[in-house]
Amino acid sequence: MNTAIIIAQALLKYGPAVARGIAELFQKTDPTLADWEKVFVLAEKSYDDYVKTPEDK
Amino acid sequence: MVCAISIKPMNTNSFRRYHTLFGSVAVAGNVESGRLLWRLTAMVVSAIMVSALLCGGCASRETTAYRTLGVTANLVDGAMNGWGDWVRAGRATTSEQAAVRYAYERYQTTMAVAHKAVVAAKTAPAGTDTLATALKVVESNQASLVNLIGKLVK
Repeated sequence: MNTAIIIAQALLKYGPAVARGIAELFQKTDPTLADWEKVFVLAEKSYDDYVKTPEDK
Repeated sequence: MVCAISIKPMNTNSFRRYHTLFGSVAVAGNVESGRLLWRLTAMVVSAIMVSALLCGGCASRETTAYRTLGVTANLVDGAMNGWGDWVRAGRATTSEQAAVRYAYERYQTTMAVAHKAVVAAKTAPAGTDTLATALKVVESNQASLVNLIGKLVK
């Protein structure tokens, strides 16, 4: 399985935003601290952020 | 003169495919039989394994760790967006929500530890030794995340 297949699967299952994020990861060879921060910021959303209704947002 | 208006139902399948963890209405039924966490586990394990296989021989340890954690974070984010849709649709039971919340919060804890380790390594003057130590922390936390979710589904 190559990178293109992973990205294609991500596109089909989760949509273009996730696929684009993964594609960008594979374009970096020497990640900077800023690159790392972009990864970790994804994990900072709380559970409630994901499940809240539009009225809560 | 008869004016015929074609009323075509909205295709919700494409929305579902993009925004849910489960891919289709048929598969979505698996959640109700308690398979959600198994699917989440399989997804995270496969992301880590594939990423490691892809990167193992062609990139530095830091780049490998970056891609592994990055793929994991992106897939978990996509899965959680889908889970949010599922919860808002009223399809998740209270116990399923509690299980996913627990797993997700442990995942966040693990990522926070990895975050601190990477920041320390990248900003420390000691350089490569500190970075090597930090990457061991990252790798051990990836393993603990997989183990944690694996235990939840048993």
